[in-house]
Amino acid sequence: MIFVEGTIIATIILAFIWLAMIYNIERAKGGKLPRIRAIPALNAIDEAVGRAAEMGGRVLFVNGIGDLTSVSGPETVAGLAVLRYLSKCCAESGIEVVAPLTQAQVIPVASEAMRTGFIEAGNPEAFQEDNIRYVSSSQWGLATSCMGIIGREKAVSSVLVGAFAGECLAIVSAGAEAGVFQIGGCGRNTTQMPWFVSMCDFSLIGEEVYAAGAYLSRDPLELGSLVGQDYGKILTAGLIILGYILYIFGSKALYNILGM
Amino acid sequence: MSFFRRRELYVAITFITGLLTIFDYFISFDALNNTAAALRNWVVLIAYFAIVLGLVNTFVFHGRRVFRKGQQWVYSAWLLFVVVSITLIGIFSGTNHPIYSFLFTNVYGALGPSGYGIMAFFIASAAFRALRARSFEALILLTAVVFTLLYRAPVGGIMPFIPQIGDWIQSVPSAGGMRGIIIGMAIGAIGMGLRTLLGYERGYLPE
Amino acid sequence: MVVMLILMIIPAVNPLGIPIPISDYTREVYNYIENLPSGSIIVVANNVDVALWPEEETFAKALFWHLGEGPHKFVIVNFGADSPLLISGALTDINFEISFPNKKYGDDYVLMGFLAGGETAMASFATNPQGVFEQDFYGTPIEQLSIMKELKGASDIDLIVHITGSDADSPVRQWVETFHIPYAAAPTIGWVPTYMPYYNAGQLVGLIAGVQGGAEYELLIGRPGSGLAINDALSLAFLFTILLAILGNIDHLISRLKGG
Repeated sequence: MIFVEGTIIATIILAFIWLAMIYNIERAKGGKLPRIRAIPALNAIDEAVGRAAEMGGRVLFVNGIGDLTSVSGPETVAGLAVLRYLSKCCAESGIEVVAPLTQAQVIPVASEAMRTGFIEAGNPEAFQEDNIRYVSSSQWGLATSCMGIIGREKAVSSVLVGAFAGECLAIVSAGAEAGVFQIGGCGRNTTQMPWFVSMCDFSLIGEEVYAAGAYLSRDPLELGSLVGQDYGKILTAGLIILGYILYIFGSKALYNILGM
Repeated sequence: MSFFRRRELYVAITFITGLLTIFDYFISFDALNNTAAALRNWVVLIAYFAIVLGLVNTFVFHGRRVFRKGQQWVYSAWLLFVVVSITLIGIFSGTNHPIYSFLFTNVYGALGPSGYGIMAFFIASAAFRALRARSFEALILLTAVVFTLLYRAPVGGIMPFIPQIGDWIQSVPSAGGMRGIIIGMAIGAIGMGLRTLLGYERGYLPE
Repeated sequence: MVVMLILMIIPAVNPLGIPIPISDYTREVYNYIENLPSGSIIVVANNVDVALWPEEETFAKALFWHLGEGPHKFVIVNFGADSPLLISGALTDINFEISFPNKKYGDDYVLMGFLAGGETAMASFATNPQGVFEQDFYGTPIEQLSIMKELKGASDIDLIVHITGSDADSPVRQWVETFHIPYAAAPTIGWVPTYMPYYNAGQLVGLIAGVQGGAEYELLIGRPGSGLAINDALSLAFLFTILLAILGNIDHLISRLKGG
């Protein structure tokens, strides 16, 4: 039994990140909660719900086109954490939240997130299973469905957090034209971020999406995990800077070490 | 509580299979590698079932609407009719049957790109309404958009300096930003993976 | 919007013949295929859905012309549900069987069905290409396809050309980094930025950027076709979008000056 060639350093880095996360999770559980800077877009969720309550409309939640098992998994999970918080706020205000979905495997998880939000608000009977809708596996099925919900079902606020591709332009454009209060963001697809920034009232950029769950729940586990991930990012940045400095002096030592 | 509904059982299955798959990448050991390969094949099978799950949800949601004659139930009925008829044609006549091919190419094949084609008009509308230099950052965004559009337009290839500027934008700031996003996302995925392995992520577990 | 529509229709009716420079990364894909030894096995992986197919169809047909004229064998594997029928349609459109009578189905090329599971399916295929399929798209048992008997594992794949409408992470992580298979990507134009870091790092042998790359490939194989007309429409549409952005900013400036 031997290591596959080129994976020794990867093993060490993975172990470091894991240990950093476990350390920070235990630290957070022990009461030393890390501080996260204010994220205006997430603070604006209450405003979105309040607006829907005033206008007697609904809130549209869009989790994007990602699933739970692929590279878009973290974004999808982050979106579902926002859905849970959003559902709690909507339940407290007596408003409906509608969540169209494109991935069948996300349906039970999203349903559970919404139901939990309603339970946490003390209003479990208000939860409607029909508001979790599988609309199509196609991104354009999602776009047209959201446009229909905005136009026909009086969605006056929308929250879009998850993995998005081209359909987000259609959704936020339709929302902007209808005067919908929009909060949106995607973590990974930088090519779609300009649409959120330019047409949403509040936007989440990059890492803010991944921090959403921890930020809203203030759960020690999630907060600790977030800080542990930041240790990994600091390590990566340090290696990049060190490697660049060595490269300037003509050394490929770090490059060779990392390839081990 | 029944043994099979205990959360610990699901967490244990997740932990064991997750570790097997992770170790498969790092360790060369036949028994381990073969087991991980078998697990991957099982995931492929489960993915096929997930498609059926989506179909069931469609039937439940739209069927309920038709049965109760709810809001716009006519569209739900039409959707169910189309789903059932195309599925039956595909199953009994095969996907190479002329009727199936006709429906796929001339109906689905036309509707799908149409949704994507609407993007052109949304982008044009967004270009007029949203791409305004209200701030310094917005000015940088606008400048990058203009250069990138010129670079991506085939006609930009024959304009002076556009290919060079476009290559630089694509290879340096854009690729650099993408690298940062990729690294952040990868570490985020590691974090979610660890939380799932240790049983902290409980979204997929039964109540 | 009518103007946009007219600008896109004009080249379709009467191509303008705007010259297209051939990018280095498109040429690298062409050269790599040309330099492969005779009898090499190329896997054409496709996960584009129907909505994005018009952008990739140009390159797909040009690729099949190139492979038909060349001495290589190819296996088409589909990771999207729509993909098998789309590819089958492309082969029919170029009359592949009639155009290349020396290419025998089952011996020189084969069309496999849809493999669900995303990244896991990619890994499964690379681990054991014979094991994940029992039959091809037309129902022929795999034992009767001699080309599949040659494909026992990742080391038997000489190149993967990936026609895709999604990002780079999954195929690079599995096919390039884990199984070390030479990989050329043909993403839709929106996903090209996600592939650039990997291309710059040398993990891709080349890149075909959407319909523009497809038109360049048509020129390289000496068969200019619909890609050129589409690129004329792209040029006009992009120039019009830039004009709209400029007009929008002029309008904004006038509003600010009037508002004091």
